[in-house]
Amino acid sequence: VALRGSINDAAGAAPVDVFLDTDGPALLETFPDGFDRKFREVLQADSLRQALSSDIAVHRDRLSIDELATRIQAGDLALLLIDTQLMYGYAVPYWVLAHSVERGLVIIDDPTDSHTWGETWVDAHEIPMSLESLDRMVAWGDDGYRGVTFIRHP
Amino acid sequence: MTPPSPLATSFDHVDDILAAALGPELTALWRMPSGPQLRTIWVGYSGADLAAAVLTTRRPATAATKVARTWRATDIVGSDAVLDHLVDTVINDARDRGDIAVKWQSFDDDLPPQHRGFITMRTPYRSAAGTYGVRGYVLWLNPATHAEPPYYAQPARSRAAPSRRFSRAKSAGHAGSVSTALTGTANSNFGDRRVIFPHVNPSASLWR
Repeated sequence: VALRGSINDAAGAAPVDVFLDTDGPALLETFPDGFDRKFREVLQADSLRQALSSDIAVHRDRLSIDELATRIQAGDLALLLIDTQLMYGYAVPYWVLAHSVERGLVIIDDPTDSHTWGETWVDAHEIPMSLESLDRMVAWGDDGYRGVTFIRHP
Repeated sequence: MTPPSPLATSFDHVDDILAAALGPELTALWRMPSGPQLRTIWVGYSGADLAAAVLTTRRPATAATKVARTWRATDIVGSDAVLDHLVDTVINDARDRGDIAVKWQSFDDDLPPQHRGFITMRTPYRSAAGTYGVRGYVLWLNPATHAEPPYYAQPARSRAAPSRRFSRAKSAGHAGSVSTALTGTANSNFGDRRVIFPHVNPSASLWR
């Protein structure tokens, strides 16, 4: 949420809203109980408090992929929390940017090009993806929670 | 000029005939591991001679095909036409599969695509290794309507504080770059990424 706050500070008149349909801490699956995990849980709870007291809208319902596409079509940008399994062949949580819609497919940019696979920026840029694939990809964890941050078009 | 013969075949590895035509240096590049990417090699003949070849790759679950490498025999008359024929075949195959885009990358001394409809993509921000020395083109199989943002990768070796990274992206003055720059900070608390992302070139790793 600190990140989201940073976006909000920058976007100014085009503020941010967040969809995250899990009540617990996010992205801490690899941290066993202990200081490292507790520390991050405290930070996340604090970030949530800050968000709730700001003009960042925090939605705890699950965003549908149709709604995602509709908002991108309308000009919003979206940071998507993805599971890389579909595109990389193994599961890691990651963020990509969804920025456009073409012929009903969402166009994303992935900030990683996999150099040792012979990829270049050409692979990671302007990636069209069907709504069905996005629906599977934009979910993380055993429960498949979905995290999306919109930067609203002014 | 010899008319282009029908597509001979497509397969997923560089066979000895193609390797002999490419030479060792190019063969090594064409045989480079492609991880989970799906790859196809398309070859075309002029008479009995191998005249042109195309390597295409695609990320799973996406609706784009990339022309990763092309080759034509410069000593065979008509090899350009054979290459064109192969590219047509690639484009038709992509369309049949439901792709909406065919991309094309060319390295320093490669030809850009000669086919109508390919447009030059915006020069990426020089960030990760894959943003250097490669030009990118895209053919939208139906005319595209969206404005292309510039590409920005997570920079190598960057552990910049969010505020620093952010102010740099902000100065670029583009919403796309702001957002993609910020995705880097979002990922910064998930353990050892040299393990998590083994496919990223260790010598130009994001995570060192």
